[in-house]
Amino acid sequence: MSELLQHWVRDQAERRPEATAVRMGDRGLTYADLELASNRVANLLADAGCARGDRVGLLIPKSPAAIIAMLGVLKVGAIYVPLDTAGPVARLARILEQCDDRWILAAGDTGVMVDLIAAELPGPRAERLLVGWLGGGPPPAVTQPLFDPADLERAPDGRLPLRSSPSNPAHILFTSGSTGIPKGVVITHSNVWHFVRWAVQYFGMTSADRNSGHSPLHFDLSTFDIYGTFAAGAELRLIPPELSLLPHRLAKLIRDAELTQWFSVPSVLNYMAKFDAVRDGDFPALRRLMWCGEVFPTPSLVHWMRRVPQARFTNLYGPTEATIASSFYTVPECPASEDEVIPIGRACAGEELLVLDEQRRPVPSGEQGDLYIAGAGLSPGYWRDRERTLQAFTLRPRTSNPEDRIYRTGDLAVMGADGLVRFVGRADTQVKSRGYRIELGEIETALHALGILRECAVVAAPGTAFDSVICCAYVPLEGKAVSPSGMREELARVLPAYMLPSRWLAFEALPATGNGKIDRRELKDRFAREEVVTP
Amino acid sequence: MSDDRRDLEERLAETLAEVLHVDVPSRETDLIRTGRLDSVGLVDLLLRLERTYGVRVEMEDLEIDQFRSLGTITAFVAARMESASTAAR
Repeated sequence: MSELLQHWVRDQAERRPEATAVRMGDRGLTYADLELASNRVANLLADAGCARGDRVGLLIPKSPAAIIAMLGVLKVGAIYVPLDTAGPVARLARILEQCDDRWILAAGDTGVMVDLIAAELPGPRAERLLVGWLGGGPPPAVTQPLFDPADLERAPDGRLPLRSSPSNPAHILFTSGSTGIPKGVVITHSNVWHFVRWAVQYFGMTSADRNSGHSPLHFDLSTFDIYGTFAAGAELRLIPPELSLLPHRLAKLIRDAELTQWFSVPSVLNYMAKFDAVRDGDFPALRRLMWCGEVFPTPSLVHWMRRVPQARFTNLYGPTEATIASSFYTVPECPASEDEVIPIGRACAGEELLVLDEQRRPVPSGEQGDLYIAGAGLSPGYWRDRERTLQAFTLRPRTSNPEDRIYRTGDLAVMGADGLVRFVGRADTQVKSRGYRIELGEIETALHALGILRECAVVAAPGTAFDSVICCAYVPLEGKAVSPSGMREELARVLPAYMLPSRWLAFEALPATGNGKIDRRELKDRFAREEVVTP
Repeated sequence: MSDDRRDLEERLAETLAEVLHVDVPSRETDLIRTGRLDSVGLVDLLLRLERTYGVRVEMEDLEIDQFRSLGTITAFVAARMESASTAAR
């Protein structure tokens, strides 16, 4: 198997051209369709001057067209940057600026956004963005696209000469940054190849599989949905984002599409369990269910395992910086007790989990320490951010090999005598909500920038029984009119929707601990109590 | 639009803003596409509709288009209240 991601589609297109590669609703593409359509995009990009190593923002709602665009970018040797099409324009513009990215492939209902983003970028208007418009909605009104769907139809569909090697970046994924600036995690072809090669073999993925594509395309998990599917020659079923609000509709889709693999974040599985969307003996075709991104509460896991007894349930663990997942644990049987803690398990092939103390020495088994990851999945670092890269990725202690790096996850963990690693908590204020990684500091920075608060603190508290909820405690500046819905609206201009606080409490002064710091534990308790009494 | 309907819409806008902290720029704003209403908000909203307006919605019967904007939410709640009062007669 080639280490280059775009080759997996090419190989399937040669072997089984008529097999379905990707489907969403009633729109499906065969491997041959996908290969030829992405060749056209690559040819147009190459003609327009897009070069090896250039960054190309993708502003395309989740759809087969987005997958075509990704492959087209890879074929031209460039790096794609998937953008959240629901995200605030200011944040997207900042991400493009940070990548020094002038290329955008856009489609669907994002024509207006292209113009808004272009308006936010510095420099002479004509030079701000180079846009390839792939159609599917009204095109940008101001920004003149370099090519449009008519050009795409006429474009040659032959292969370009090879322009990339396995150590080249394939994409950059942006995650929340504690200082208020998103961090771009660079992921190489080789990073993805290492995980996918292991996963295809471990899970026994074949061309008969029909895999869910539940995760948003700017989110790490989708890398496995997409490339795991293509490596196995299987079918990727993209799930429309709005279905995530409807647990019964999600269940119906799994049932009707006879999915064999479901991969998502625990909050979705939890949501489905809480609203009893999964019936006894449901999803007879489902062979495996995997989750990643946060802890899956054991009661919900038990709920699922009882109803779908034939499926294999696997916890995958790993931050974006180590590519999709670094460790796995397949739950051997339905937990007898709902208090049982599901381990994050042991390292995937080619990866290593280390539990170290402050001096970065291994801690004895059974004792808590900082969790580090080493191995082939480690990203080269954050895009053009040497300082933060050096902070997070360090050399393994006492090594003389400059390539032997370890990544500090910020998670606290225990390595058991059984060799299994168990997650304990976070060493910092990063939280997970609906699987998204959120730096609370980024939200606080944005709140302070509004200039209407004297004090504020953002915490995550247990929510309406299925997820943690972002909560904000605030003290208004004297004489300022402050309303939570107004602040939420202002924040929505700079933060993605999943980072907006859902619960708000005004204080005259925030509770403090003995040494004068904000008492976050007390605040969390306060919000948790509110949660019980509000409805 | 009738006065009753306008009152209901105002009350729902207030509920969205004060209870769910969702700001509604216009009655047509797509609350879901713009991320204003997510699964946390939707569950809160359903709870609130049941408690304040006596409108019970089963998650199973829910159509996303009914909750897309303030306008569609108002129409949905009005229709449910209407059919409940007809049934009571």
